[in-house]
Amino acid sequence: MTLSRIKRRYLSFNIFSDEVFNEKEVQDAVFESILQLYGLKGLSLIAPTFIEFDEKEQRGIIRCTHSYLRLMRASLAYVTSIRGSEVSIIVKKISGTIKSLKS
Amino acid sequence: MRRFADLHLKPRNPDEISSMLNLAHELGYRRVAVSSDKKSLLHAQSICNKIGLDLVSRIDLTPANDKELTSLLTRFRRSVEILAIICETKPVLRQASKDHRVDLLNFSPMLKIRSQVFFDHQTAMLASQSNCSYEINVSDILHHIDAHTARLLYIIRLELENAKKKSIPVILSSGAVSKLQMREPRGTASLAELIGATEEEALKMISDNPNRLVDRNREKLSSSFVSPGLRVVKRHDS
Repeated sequence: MTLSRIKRRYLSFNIFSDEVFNEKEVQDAVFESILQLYGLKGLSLIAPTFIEFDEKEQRGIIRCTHSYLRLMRASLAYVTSIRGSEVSIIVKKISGTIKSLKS
Repeated sequence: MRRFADLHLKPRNPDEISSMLNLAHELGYRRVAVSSDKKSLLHAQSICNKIGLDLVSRIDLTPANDKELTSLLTRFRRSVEILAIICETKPVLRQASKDHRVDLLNFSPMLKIRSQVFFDHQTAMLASQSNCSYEINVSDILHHIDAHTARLLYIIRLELENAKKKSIPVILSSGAVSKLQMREPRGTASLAELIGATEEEALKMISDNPNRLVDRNREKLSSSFVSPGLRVVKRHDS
């Protein structure tokens, strides 16, 4: 029996806000957004994973499954506040590999 | 390549116009409409000329009754490229949906009003004959998820179905009051998934549909326009 390889997408994003946030806060806000919009099932299907987050630049990379990219984008767009401060998460680039995302 | 347009920026204060327009350009929009006062619009025009953004003039009207709507339409129709009516009463909605001078039908984000006055089947029937479009503001649903937002999403989903049934052009706008309410075009389009739009439909709502509306109105407002399909090519000087 052969298992098909899971296709993934990597999204680089920037956070716009007057405040500065750490990786844990951003991660919690994104996961909370997915849970609110699509529930536990959606979270398991999107399978988001934080790859990296630069606290100084307030930008990061998140991975999700290829088929549920649209749900991931909607969840990122839906994040409106972190720690009570207004924020917006803007996706800058999407790629199939981290290497091409960073190039 | 798609030309994205956001036809509804409504800055809280004039100081925010500059940063919002710069961000819109950075996010990949090519055309924006700002609903603000005349002085701010002149300022916005100078910024847009600098950064290469196409600014569309827009006015949002909230008439109290159908008579007021008719007089406002007569007053403003020829002076702006996009004329949107925010419908808060049934008589205004009925009149606006059958008046060919109205470009966009917009609705209140207040659930109490929206559950009474929304883009229903009858409105869709009337709008299909008068060429007006239905506008969805993403800012209306960008709130913390609760029963209120869920109910609003349900109503917007119904509205979208009615618009689709009658082939009414749907326009997806940000309705942003500050730059933190703005999202990239494809991010905005992905939010339309919540109201039942497919990816292709959502992308059309933010590119083809608004662009077609603006192009049509610009042609109508040009001095060579006579009637749809008929324009002055050359004037004979006597």
